[in-house]
Amino acid sequence: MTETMREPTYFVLAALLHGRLHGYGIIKRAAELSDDRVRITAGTLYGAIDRLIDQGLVAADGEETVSGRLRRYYRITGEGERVVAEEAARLRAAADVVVRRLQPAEAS
Amino acid sequence: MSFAERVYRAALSAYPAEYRAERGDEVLGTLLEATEGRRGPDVREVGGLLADGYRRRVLASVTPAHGALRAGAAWAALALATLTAAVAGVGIVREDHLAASLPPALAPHLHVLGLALSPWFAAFAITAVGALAALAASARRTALGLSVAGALLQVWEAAFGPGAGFPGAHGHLAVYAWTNVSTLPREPWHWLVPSLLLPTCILLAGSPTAPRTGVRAARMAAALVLAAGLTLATDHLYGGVAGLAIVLVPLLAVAVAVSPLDPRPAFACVALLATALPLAWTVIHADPTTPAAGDLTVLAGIGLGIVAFAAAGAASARGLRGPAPPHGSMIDSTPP
Repeated sequence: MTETMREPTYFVLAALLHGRLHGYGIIKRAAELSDDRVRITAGTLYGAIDRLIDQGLVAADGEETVSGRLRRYYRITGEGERVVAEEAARLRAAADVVVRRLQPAEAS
Repeated sequence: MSFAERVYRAALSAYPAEYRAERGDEVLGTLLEATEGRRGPDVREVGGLLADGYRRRVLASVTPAHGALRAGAAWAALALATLTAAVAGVGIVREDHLAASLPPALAPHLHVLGLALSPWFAAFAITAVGALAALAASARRTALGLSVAGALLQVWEAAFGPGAGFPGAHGHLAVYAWTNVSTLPREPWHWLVPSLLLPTCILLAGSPTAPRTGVRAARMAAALVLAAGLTLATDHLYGGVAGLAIVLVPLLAVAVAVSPLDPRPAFACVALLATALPLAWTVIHADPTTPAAGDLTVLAGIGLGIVAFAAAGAASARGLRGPAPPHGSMIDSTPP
């Protein structure tokens, strides 16, 4: 049975399409991309990142220490890009179903 | 160190130690960046940490290859051990009432705290409560040894015991421990089913990750308080919603606290109730002058509980571990 991708996971992948990011960078970018609608907590973020790493959709990409705090960076893999693109297409198709139905009514 | 950082560090202790050592600094850094400018800690972040930390502890407690089976067996073992300890406790109380009606040759000569006890039943009660305490403390081998000892004691008693052939002595014998919550006469081998199921479930459950000493002590204390509470409840409560709540609430609380498994699936609670209700019913009516619920009710409750516990455990393990790597389309069944 195929299940849909959850929204935080979708926005984590979408955030990484812009290049490698560290934890807070992903949270911030996901909030920007969703017009501040998706606010991912750290617990949710690292749970999602670990699953995505296990699935080969995201990979660790170096680390550095900034102001005494450890930052680990992550990047999306080729498979991750393919999967998030498929999900975006699925969402667009689902949205089109509703939009097409509503258009004639709006036109009249 | 700010107050928020202290709170986040405390919340990070919900994670397994290995995870904290590997990722703790990174997660803390992200948290502090994400909540910069706030006066205190973000409650939502703390909740997220606790939930994710607990999820990871559950994952660390089950072996990937047999996670579902082991998780289900762990639920079932816990339920059975609780039931057996409670039944043994009920038996200790009831035996004192029965002592007067037994033939002199069978009457218990052992007196503890004013209660007349059969040494065999006392030994069985020790194995039953001990197995529950050991299971609560994640001492699997001890729990297995005690549960096997309890079953062997009953087998020996059924085959060679001095009370064989004396129907009135049922409540007096360890092999008939479950008749203390039932009034229907059955073959002794019938009553061995729960006792034989318990070590089987413990074996299948495997070795959980050993918790810290303090956690072990707290679990053991909670399990013993539960067993004692159920025993006392039989002596003083003979019905009513209050009695039911007093028996069920600690049972639910301890089962959730003791189990390394995720209690989120709603039917896990239904499973708990399915197991606990028949017991609670019989425990509440375990008055020598009041007919108790039938043995079939108790055994049906145990059977239903084991199946439901196994299903809940399987669902927990599957849901927490997450899906297999995707092929074609993304699968993400775990909560965000």
